[in-house]
Amino acid sequence: MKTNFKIYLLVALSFLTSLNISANDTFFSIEKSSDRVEELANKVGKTNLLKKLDDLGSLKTWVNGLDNVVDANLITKLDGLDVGDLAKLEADIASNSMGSGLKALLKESPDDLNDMWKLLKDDPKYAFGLSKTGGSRWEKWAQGNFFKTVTKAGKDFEQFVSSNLSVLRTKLLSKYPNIDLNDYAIFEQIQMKTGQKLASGTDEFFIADFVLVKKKTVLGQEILDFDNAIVLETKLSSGTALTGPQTNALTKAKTSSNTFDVRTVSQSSTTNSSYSLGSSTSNKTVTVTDYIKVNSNGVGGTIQDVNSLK
Amino acid sequence: MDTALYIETIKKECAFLEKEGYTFTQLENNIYYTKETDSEGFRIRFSWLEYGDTFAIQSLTAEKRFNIVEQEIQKILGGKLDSYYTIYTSPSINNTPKGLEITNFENNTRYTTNTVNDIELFCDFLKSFYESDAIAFFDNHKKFTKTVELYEKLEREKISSLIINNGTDIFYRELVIKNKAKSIDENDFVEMVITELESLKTNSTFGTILENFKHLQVNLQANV
Repeated sequence: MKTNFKIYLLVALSFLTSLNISANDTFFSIEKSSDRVEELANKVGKTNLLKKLDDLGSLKTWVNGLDNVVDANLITKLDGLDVGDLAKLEADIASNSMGSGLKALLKESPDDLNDMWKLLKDDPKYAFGLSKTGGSRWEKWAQGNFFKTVTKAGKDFEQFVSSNLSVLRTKLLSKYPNIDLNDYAIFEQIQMKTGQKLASGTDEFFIADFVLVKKKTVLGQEILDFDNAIVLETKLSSGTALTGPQTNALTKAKTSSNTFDVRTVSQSSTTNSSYSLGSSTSNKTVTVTDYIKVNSNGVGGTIQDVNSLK
Repeated sequence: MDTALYIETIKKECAFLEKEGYTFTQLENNIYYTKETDSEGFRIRFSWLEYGDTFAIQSLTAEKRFNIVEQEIQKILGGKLDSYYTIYTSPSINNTPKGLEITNFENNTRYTTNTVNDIELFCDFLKSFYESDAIAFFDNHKKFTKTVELYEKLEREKISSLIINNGTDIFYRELVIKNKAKSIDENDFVEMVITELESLKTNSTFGTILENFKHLQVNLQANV
């Protein structure tokens, strides 16, 4: 019996070795092992991420339910957030009114975590502006309750400043006696090109919350001196940093090439209905001589400080 | 409220202007209702700023273009003739819409709208402004000679209460009006403006105004 078994085994082995193993067989074999390695790596990535979320219950529950393969990109992006951002995301995910919408947007497009959610948290007012011009992905976010909630405080403060120009004037005068708001025509929400190009090749721009243009009386008429303009950016708190495009604009304002092309097609002045900026009949460039941050106390409803950044 | 609903509501509530022969146009954050004849243009316009769900409407004006004036300015500044207007009127500060929050600025008024109902209130106000002020203004300035007469009575400091000054173009407009009206002080005006701007021309804004002004004067003289 044993001898017979040995004979059968030898026959079987010689049959197997006589077979040609095709290239495809080898490829599938390697591919399968590659899939397994990737799956294993995804599993390790998710496990590592979960270790960071011990105190962040809602986020942990959500990440636990993510698929190792399908949501691999999202898991990697989440793993790249620092502790502070993870804590902010936990609060947003845990929100009854915003959480489910936010999770759906991030699952749909994981790149939105950095491109949109983080930008919204860092500078909601700037993101609000982008939602008007930034393309279809932003339109999708702008429809969500999350977007509306996050941008509200920043836009409310901008509106507060606009409706309380006398308070702003006092703040500015007390710190910068040469800047009297009454000497300027005020334009709001002006898109200006920073001089930089985006990856797409189009011109980068920022939205100046306020552009003050110096008035000069000539022969009884007020003429706007577009060589003499100041940009004001409103921020909810003193710690809120400028966005990338705003930083580029500030850098440009600090140089001798401080003349900006206005991207806005036509905007009338807040303080005078006849004055316009950016139309075919008016100036399309402004020279920025100062760049001032107007900040609140983190909550809004008050102008806490003004600071020249130039 | 979002932008689409805001514009849709404006269009619906201001449909009376389209029935009056005006054409609706939206250009970025501006709404224009315009009507053209061979020699004139009429426009009711306003703009808005967005603060989240709040739409702050401002710069409500009724404007009239005399082509005889604006086509000369268009020649030196470019663009389309329908971007240029000669005279304007705005709602009186004493005439305010009921139920809307308003903010008065130096020479502008803002109407804050948060809901469809707010926009309806604004459009009711716009209608009353059109029917009571704009039509009377257009009637009063039916003839160019009448506008010239009213312009010449104004003190220099009050000129931009009638003649449109977008911030850099009022001297051009004044020069063409004086030229077309064959005003006796046209040459004095030219000398006065050039003398004043010559002293400021190192500034590029004033330098450009001066160059355009001289260019315009040459064009007008060539027309004679």
